Amino acid sequence: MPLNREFIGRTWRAAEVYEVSREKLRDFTVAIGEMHPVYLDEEAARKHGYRTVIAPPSFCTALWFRMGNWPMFEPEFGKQKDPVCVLGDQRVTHHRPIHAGDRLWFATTVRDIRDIGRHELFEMEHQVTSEDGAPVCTVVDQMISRGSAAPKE
Amino acid sequence: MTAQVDYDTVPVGMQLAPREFQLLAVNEIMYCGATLDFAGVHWNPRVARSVGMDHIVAHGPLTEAKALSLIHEWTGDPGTVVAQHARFHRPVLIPDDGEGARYRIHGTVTEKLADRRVVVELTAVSPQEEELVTVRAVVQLV
Repeated sequence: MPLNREFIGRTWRAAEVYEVSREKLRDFTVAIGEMHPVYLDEEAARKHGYRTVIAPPSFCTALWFRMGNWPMFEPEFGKQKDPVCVLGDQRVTHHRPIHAGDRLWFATTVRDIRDIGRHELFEMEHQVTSEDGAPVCTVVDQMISRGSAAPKE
Repeated sequence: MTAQVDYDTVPVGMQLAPREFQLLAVNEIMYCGATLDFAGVHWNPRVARSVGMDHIVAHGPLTEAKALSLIHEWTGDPGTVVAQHARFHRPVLIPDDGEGARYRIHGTVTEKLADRRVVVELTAVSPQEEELVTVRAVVQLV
């Protein structure tokens, strides 16, 4: 069943702030197999010119899962358990590194849904901002919904 | 940000030191935990088989993260990555055989931009020389 194209242009905003903890950054850093001290050691981070430890540049790509994966589980969006969705393409723009202690807001907009052969592609733009509204980073994900395109005449 | 690399000394075509990676099932399951993405295909071989995969599938952004490590191995500072564009060409499958998945990541400076920034194209390739993931990173030099 095809995805609901009425979602194109809709934006969802997280109801609560995401507070970045030093321990979460440590867990994420270990999970990606990293050991760089700017992620783990406050003194080392300060020597590199940061006020405290920072997040790896791919940390922001995981925030969407914590925030509930909108719109994947909206019944009206039409995403079925089967077929699966896979990530095809991901673009990240960093306005500044994410630091421990940051309080971040998260908003997702469905930018596009279109057929690519038997599959559908949907594009989501995630805006991560600080409490004063300043941009922190932007993540644009293109997901492939396998085999869900409407049959062609 | 304390990049150690002088923009003026970096030619287009320069190769970064390649890195080899091994990914065991436990590494992927740790990533599921850290990201809170517990889609079954990433940790449950039965679910993976049900969607036509022989083994559990690594998260694309985990390979993206490993590719970006080549940047700070070069510049000394992960904060030098100002943008990244990852394309996921083939799934990274992780057999539960004690060996897991292996891939090699290499990087090349492909472009010099304004504001002392360069483009590095990073490519993760399987032992069979298949392109798995490519990442175009924009890197701030000094």
